Amino acid sequence: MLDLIQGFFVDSFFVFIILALFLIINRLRLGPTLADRVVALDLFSTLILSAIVVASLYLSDSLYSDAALILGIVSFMGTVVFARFIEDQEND
Amino acid sequence: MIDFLISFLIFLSGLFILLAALGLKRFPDLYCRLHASSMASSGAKICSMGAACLYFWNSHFGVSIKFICSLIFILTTAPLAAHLIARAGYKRGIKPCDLTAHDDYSKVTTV
Repeated sequence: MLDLIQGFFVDSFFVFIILALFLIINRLRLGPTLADRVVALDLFSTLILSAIVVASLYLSDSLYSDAALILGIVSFMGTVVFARFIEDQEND
Repeated sequence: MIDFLISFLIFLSGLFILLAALGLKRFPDLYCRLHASSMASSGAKICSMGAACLYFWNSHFGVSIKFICSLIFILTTAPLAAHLIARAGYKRGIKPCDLTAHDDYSKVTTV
């Protein structure tokens, strides 16, 4: 468990990711094309991954490392599938 | 001292994510947004996983090694995913913004 003095840094991490969450959801809502939304989803999965890793430090529990690895793999697969889907859409 | 380093890495990771989200919000173009998001999210992953690796180094050494391996995997696949999205968007016909100086990929005859 980290000290209370360093708790400022961890608290500011959570404030930062909540602010970033609003910006990402805004882009996800009004992205002009599908590719913008896929980029926003990719950044969203990065945010969740960092939050999982920091929660693993915050709770001093090493079980969350598996969740971080699996989330990285799944987000990469999702991005690849979405890229194939964007590429195969017909041009208009 | 090591606690301060770990906390500062966590802080830096949050800052990278906020900068990436700000770039995602403010940039005019798919490719600029992809650049900001992909590069800064790599920095965020390096910082948070490096902090976890330092934190578990003495108590659980195997967990630390697992964090290093997953960091290597993630750092290998993040530019690949960004390249796939950019290429798919270009082939789909998404135009770059007007400030773009060079567009070398338009000279390549594909499809």
